[in-house]
Amino acid sequence: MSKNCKRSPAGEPWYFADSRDYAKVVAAEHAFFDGLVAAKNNISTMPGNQSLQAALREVTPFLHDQDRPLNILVKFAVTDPRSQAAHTLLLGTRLQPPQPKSHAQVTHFLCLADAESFLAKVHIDFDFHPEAEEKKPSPHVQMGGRVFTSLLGQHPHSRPTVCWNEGIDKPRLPSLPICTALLWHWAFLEYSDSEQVSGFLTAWHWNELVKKAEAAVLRPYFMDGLRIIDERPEKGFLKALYVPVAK
Amino acid sequence: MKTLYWIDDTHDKSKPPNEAAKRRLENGLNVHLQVETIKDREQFGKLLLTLVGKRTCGVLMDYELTAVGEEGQMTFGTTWAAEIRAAHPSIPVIGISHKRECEIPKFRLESFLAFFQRDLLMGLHPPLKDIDAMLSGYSAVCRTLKKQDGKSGVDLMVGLVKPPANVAGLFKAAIPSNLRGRWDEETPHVVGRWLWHDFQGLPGFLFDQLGVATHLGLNLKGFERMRAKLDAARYQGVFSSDERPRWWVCAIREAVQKIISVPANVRVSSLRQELLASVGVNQDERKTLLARPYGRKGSDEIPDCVAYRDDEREEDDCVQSLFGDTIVDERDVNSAFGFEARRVYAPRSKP
Repeated sequence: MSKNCKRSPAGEPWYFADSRDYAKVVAAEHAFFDGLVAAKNNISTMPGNQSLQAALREVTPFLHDQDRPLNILVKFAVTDPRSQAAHTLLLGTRLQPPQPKSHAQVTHFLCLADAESFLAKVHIDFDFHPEAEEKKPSPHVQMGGRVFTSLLGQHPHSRPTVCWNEGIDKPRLPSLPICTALLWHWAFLEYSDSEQVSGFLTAWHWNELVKKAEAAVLRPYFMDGLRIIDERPEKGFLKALYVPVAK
Repeated sequence: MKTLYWIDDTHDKSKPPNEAAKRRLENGLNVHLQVETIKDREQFGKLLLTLVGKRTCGVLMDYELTAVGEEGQMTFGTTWAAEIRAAHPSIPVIGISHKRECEIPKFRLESFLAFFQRDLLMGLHPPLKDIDAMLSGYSAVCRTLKKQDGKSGVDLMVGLVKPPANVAGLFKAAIPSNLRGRWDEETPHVVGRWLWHDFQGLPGFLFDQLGVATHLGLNLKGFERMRAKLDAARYQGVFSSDERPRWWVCAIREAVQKIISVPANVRVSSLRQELLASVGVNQDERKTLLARPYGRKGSDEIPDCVAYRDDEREEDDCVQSLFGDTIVDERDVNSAFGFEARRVYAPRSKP
């Protein structure tokens, strides 16, 4: 086994430890927002996006002190590449630091809406509890689930239709670890022809931020994955993603 | 010894400082205080010619000079402050008025580096350290201007403020556009105003005493017990003053970590008991040193922000509040990057 492999409190080899280390996740988020504020005049579509400007202001306390929670939501007007329908893309980040009696929570989500409805939602959770009560991979992506209050407040319709069963949020699919930069980039690649998005993809500053985020978030994940496949084939890559269950 | 001018009008003989007040300012600031009462425009013109930048550390000037205008009408010191600055840009001009700063039109204040109430300056305890910080800070900015050697305004500001590495990028982004390029001889005035009023005056990069106390979960009395341990987080850059102390927000956590062990990303204020214990405060006394949320008598919740008691936004009328009991002051909704909107106490339902 690699010397770098950490152990869970139960003594099990603990892979993907970096993805489950809140301080490291937060450091990547901090570096991204810090860079985004500095590049705000270098990405052509940023100044015109009011929700993005408002979100960057909300990030300020977090930039000064990483132990403050963060809850932001930004909106982009996009066009569905196939149907050419006008949609609103909502991208959210919620960071809740651990408290003496609660574990840290990190959620990133992507939601699509039109004038009447919420059309689709996926969210990606990190689990930091080393011995979860419910067996689940970490990180994981879930489709549907409840509509967050912050999302409801952003919809122009007072009672928008939710196009999925809010009571069902399973299964949890193992996911790439994600951070705000990677979530946005992932969404931008999907809607690359939309005017509010294309300016990001062509901006040098944006691509630098994405490169740094990939190095900080994806590199340790894939290094650990490769280590499992090389050194512990019997353990299995997917199985190692599951957080040990509390006994 | 340099000269500090006090420029007043002849409208009221009790306005300029009496001998005792003059002596307090001279001894406290180590300057020669030259009081000039101006009766007309011609006299001001002559005074302007006699000012010498190298021998003058600053000018304290009445904001409203009564009966000294062209036709004997009231004129504002702002006009003449601009004239002094144009003729002698290395001399800082500080405003005096019997009015409170919030009562004076905002743009009229901009001709002065800062403002003091007359009663305060002439009282038993004038803000000597604040004035000294302004005079020496302005002088440091002027020296920086002389040595700019092709450096950008951003580099010059970083050199003057010395932000910690983890907020250096944010600080650079927050510098106003008119200070980012090459500086000219009147730029020190704008630099001084921004550093004193915005950078040190608004929440964001720096905490004031109540802000840092709230961050630690303590009241001001409790904070005083910890204060000496937080010296490493003190803002020591240009225009820093012991009478108006500030602490870097981003450095508090590290300073606390040197005192007690703080688990990663746990709210510092949740460890307030441990903090007080670390400086030898016994359990009974600790209760009297903890921050309590304003308007919630008997609550054990820890306040998480500082808010103005009402939307009058009086400088010293702030309370330690629960975030949910406050609203963003809408005048600050579009505050500059790096700064936080000020908050006003406004509980949704009376607790």
